[in-house]
Amino acid sequence: MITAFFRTLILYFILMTGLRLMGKRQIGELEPSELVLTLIISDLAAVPMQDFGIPLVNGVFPIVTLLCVSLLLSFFSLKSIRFRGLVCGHPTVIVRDGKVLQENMARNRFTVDELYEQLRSQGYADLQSVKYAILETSGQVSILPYAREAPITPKGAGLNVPDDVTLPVLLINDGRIMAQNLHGSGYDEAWLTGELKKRRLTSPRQVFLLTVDEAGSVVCVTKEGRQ
Amino acid sequence: MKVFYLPAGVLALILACSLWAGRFLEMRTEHWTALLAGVSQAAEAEDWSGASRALRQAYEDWDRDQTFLHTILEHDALDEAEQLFAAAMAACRQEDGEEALIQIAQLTVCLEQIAETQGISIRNIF
Repeated sequence: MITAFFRTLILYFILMTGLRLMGKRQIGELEPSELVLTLIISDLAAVPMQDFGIPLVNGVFPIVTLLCVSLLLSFFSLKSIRFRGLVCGHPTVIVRDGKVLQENMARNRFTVDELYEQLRSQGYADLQSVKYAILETSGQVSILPYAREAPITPKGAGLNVPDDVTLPVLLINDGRIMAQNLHGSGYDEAWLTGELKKRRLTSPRQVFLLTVDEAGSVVCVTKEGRQ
Repeated sequence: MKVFYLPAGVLALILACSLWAGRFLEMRTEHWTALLAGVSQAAEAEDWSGASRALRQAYEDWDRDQTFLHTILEHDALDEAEQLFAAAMAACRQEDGEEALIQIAQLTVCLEQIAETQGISIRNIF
């Protein structure tokens, strides 16, 4: 068991260091520590599951150890910016004022093809539109265009638009009433029954989806093929 | 601080359990090997009833810890020790001194190796 404990710690930190050295583009959407955790835990769980000759604790102890180490890394990352930088890395500017910072690209093993793929996927045809492109610690690229290239917003156009964005709350989910949401939104069953009656429905079971937003606007989708 | 103390505490607990399991196994192995040394002495003196009695006692003692041992050790290693116990008992029954001494020596080494896998050492970790 003690061997498993130390081996787990060593392997975790080796994988973490390896992923950090590989650069951000390998990571995708997970932070390095999360990715390492995902990689190892799935394997650790599978081994004692398949091999009955291996005691369960040989799988459980390393998994619990990893989860605890991960929680501790998160704690220290919250407490120390330097530590966070060490574990998660720092965002890297790869385009500034439309100019590719080749050294930063090379340091993160980020290719021109990948940069252009990211530009195209975010709707930019070339570098002339981009003021900054930042390679985030998660491996995603954030693109900040020049003001002249940015989509027009009401604020940018000097328009005074009323704030009509409201959050819809799910009240019926596949025929089931979400009582907590219903009461939390200030409504009750009687109101819900009334709303159903307005739509010639007799039971929540006939409803696939029903939401209400903060303005009281109700959206109702009935189940397909209902009687 | 709960965010820190809870995982740190669980880690400390796992470390303590692992160290305790290693120490426990080491102590038990010392006990079993001492009993097996008595079996060897009796076999060398051709005291076969004494050797069989001591070996049975060692086996019963070993058997009592099987549940715990199976939760921390790979079952193959325990099965090997079990087979060596059976072979040593057969040799004692047949009063085959040479074979009995060989089996007991192998069993002793096997038990020591099992305990060694749970000890904290650079050799084990790497």
